[in-house]
Amino acid sequence: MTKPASNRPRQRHWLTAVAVSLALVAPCVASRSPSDVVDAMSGQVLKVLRDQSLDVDKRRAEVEQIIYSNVDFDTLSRLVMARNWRRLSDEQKVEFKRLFKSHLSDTYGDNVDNYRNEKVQILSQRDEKRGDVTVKTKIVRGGTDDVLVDYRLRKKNDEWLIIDVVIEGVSLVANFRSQFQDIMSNGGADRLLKLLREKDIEPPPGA
Amino acid sequence: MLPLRSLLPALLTLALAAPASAQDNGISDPLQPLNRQIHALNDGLDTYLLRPISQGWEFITPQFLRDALRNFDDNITFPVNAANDILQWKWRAAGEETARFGINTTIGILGFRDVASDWGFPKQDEDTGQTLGRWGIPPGPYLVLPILGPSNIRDGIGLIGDSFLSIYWIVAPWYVSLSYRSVDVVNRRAIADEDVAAAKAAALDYYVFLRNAYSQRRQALIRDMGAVETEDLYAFDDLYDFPEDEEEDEEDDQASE
Repeated sequence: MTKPASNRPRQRHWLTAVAVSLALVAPCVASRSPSDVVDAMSGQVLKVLRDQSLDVDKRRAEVEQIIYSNVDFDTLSRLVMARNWRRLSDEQKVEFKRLFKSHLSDTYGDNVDNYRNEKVQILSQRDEKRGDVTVKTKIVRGGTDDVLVDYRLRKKNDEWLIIDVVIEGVSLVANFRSQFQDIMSNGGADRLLKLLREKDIEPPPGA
Repeated sequence: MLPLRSLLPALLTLALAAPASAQDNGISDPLQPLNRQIHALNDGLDTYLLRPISQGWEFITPQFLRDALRNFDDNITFPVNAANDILQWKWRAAGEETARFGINTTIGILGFRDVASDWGFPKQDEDTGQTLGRWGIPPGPYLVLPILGPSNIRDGIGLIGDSFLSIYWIVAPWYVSLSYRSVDVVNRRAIADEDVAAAKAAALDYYVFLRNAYSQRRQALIRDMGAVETEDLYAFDDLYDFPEDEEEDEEDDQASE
């Protein structure tokens, strides 16, 4: 690469340095509120969904990355398994976490293609037991079709992460917990992991 | 009406006799073997009959027509919503529902357009099962009804109340009502297609998925999506604990199993 004959590169170095130091400092200073976290995440997801220059797979991958950095999958896995968590061996726990995370992102990703100009409204924020916070939101699709989505967040290493999503009153954690409970008592961890593995290789509908 | 009437005492006895098991967040399902069979039947009917028909319907109709029909049907459930608002002593909501019905029936052209939602009178979702729930009547055992799907003893009884409150049985002969209902079901199935597909893809056990989602959704509706804070209706208070941390509880549980 040849060096352009101007003082631009030096300027750019300076800007980079500022950007990097800001990036390093930001997480310590910011300590964003749960509403901010949900707002920022929704904004990022909507931006990807609106970006027509990306194909479906690319959009899906980007949305997954945004979800990964905002959801606490460790806590989610333990909450969903509840009392059954201890009945898994260490290897099973690792596999469960991996499969469950992949299953959730598949299910979420399948909906990426269904985007129809929805907007997200942050309605309110409420303190819960155990220091958790619920952020109530509404996906605005126009009139009758609005969807109420509540996010429950818990602080981990000074960062608010999502530990449950409640869609129109139906909690994801409670719903999966009941399914996994049923499966664990009819076939145990082997059957649960088998079912998750089958879901993992199943192609998404419409693909 | 006759089979239902003769079934009622038996169902009520069951409801009282069956203790809520801790198996699924307090949802009791003593009829599970029978329920699972009816669920399989319903699922088959949906996959091989209702969904194909609704896909055909979706193909031959424009979206504005599907939305208009759905709006029309939402509008004529006004008596169900309003009566249950009053039975739950929600006079303000009953007034809003009446205003909504007036606006949509006139300006919304017989309810085909939902103008009232934009004017601050959103669609309400009330029924007799919710009223019974608000009165403190517990759901009782989970029931899967043929064709109608997930329910429970309380909401099943509520359906009878709803049918008395519905307009179409009164204003139209039975075959008109039946044809209308059929079109409405097909139309709503077409509108819900993506949601149903997503639910089936997400569920590891679709029966348990539906049982739990139905029960959670009904609880949320009874307390009007959190607008009403009634302590006794929170069934999932330990949902966000780590039960495996409570060593002693866990040991006791395992010993008793």
